[in-house]
Amino acid sequence: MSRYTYINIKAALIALLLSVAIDSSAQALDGALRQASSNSNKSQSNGDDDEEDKYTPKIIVLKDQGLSLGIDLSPFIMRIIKEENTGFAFVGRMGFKTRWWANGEVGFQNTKYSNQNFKYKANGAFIKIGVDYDIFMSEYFPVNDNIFVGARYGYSWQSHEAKNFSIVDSYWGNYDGSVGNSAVNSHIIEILFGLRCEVLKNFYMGWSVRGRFLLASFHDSSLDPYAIAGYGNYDTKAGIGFTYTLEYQIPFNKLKKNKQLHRDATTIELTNKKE
Amino acid sequence: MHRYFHVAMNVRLITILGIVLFMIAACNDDEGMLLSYQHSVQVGVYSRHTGNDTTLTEVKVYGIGREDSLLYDEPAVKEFFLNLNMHQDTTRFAIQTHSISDELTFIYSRHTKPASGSAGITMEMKVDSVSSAYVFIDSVAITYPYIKYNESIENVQIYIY
Repeated sequence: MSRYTYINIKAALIALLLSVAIDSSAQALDGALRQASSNSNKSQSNGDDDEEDKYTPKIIVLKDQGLSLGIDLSPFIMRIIKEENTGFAFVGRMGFKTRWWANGEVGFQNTKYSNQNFKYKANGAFIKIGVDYDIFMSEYFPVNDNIFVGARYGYSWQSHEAKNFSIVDSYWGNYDGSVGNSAVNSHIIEILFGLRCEVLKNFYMGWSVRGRFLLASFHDSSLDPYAIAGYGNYDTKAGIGFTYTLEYQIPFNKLKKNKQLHRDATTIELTNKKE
Repeated sequence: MHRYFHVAMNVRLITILGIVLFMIAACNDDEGMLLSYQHSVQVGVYSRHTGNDTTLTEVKVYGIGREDSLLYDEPAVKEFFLNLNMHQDTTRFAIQTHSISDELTFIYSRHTKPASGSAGITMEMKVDSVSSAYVFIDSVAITYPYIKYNESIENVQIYIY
């Protein structure tokens, strides 16, 4: 079995497990929604259908917007493909206003690979801050799923070294060298589109696809970096990145939101009765 | 209610789809296929009169300092791949055609770079200037100054009489 066949099988198994997990959650939610829908229909079954449509209150349901903390699993997934990279990232987001979220990400990435001709090592970290705008707002029923568009600014720093390398040249002679620890600092901009859904109460899973742009990168040696932590390949000034996050949201604003919902619903009900 | 339900379920389905696509994209990110160790400058031969590519005949090429080792000894050549010396910032080559000899001098900057997969550390260069003794070469032009791992782009054009 070739290495790439093996990798594909591993990836397919992971995808299958994730799909099953999400599907189970979706089915559970499906049942809950149907039950809620059925109860709602029963409570209104005495009224005329036309009257029901006429007086159905149309409100935009607010979402839970507490503080979310989680991890980005994409570095673990990418390690299946690029074994030389190891990393992880913490993510945090905090809702403000109705559709806006402030975001922060902190992560680490190490690169280490070698063979008989070289030994390369890099240790890096990054921090990103930005905002997301939720373009998905539901009617009638409370839902905490999000469809985001957003942007991030990122700063990445790392140290790297290449020891005891030899570059083959049969004409002028091999080039043997060694570059000690040196620093790399980079500035990154990202624009993103992503989805996030509440798979269990207060637990969220989501992904985002990101357009990444390397604004600037500075290094103080003749050795270019292999990869930039939080960005990717140093060679490309623009690229595509992915995140896959699991988050827990602390619902500390839920009480406030429920009071608001109750007040809105009561107001609409009273309005309908007057009509 | 149904309208919402469809949207909510679609969000979940798209989430699943996104993760699967992520896996597929990750699996296709195969940089293990890089093969070349090139750090040579690619030189094309052109006619001064027509501006079109042409051929040098009865060609011998060697690096100045390595007269004992020919890079080319060919009846006809349309382009050269000349290894730049990684130990210094200047490399000179002698080009002979029918016993008439000319020279090319390359001045360049260089830096090391880690490449993916099994390639390890590579040397990348930027050609800053090219000059000639201008015996049978009329002029030279740098068309792409960068010499990068796994690229095959013509770097320099020489125009001959």
